[in-house]
Amino acid sequence: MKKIIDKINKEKLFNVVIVLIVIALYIFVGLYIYSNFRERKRQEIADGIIKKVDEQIQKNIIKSNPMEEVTLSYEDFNYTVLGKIRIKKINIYQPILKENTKKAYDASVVKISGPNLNENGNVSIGGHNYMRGNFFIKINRLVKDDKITITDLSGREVDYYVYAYGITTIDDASYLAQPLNKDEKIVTLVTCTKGGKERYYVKAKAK
Amino acid sequence: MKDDMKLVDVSEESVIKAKDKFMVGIYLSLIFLVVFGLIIYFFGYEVLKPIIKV
Repeated sequence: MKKIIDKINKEKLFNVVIVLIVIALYIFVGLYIYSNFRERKRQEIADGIIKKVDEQIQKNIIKSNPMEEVTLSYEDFNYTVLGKIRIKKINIYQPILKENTKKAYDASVVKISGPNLNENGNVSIGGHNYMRGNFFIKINRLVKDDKITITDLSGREVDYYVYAYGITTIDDASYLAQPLNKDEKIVTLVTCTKGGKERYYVKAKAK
Repeated sequence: MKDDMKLVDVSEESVIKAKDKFMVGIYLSLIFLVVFGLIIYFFGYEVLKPIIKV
């Protein structure tokens, strides 16, 4: 009799564990699908905005004094756009936003500092490093001479070629410094790494 | 005594039956998870799009 009761208790414990595993699986699948859908929506919004940016560029080309920024809205998206960035190697094609806010970082990549896009100087662009996503998670795959293309709203398209990359602490912002040679056009891509404890940067120069 | 035996049926046969039922329930819930998950994954985006926050 005691043996059977012990067995029943063991069975109960086993059942509880199994039920917990099943619940965990449901939660995991739900979160996976939600995160996948969020990425899809994010990319859809980015594509929609890119289309609007292209329309704006077409309008600006015929103007003598083109706009440097434009406020665009698309579904939940309502931001000031400065241009777009394309990195074919890692499949990035995103609008560059002016707003340096948390919400803007959730929507696309953001200009952190520097002159206007494609002007002389060092323009830094920050992007989130989502576990799944099309932002800057893959910039660590960029190596010397990989191409980064920035298009501003006047339609000017400049190719930048990677010449340096590395990891630094969050207190070190030397990668944002302006170049000594005032004629140089530099773009610096920045993202978080190690859960936000460090920064990964990629510097590219127009040839 | 006979009534007590009826109330707590701990015979090996009944324990095995209960275990089988439980395992069937678990398998069904796993099959439901896979089928429902696949349906949502492939066809649920358009439906859920309005409530997804970017």
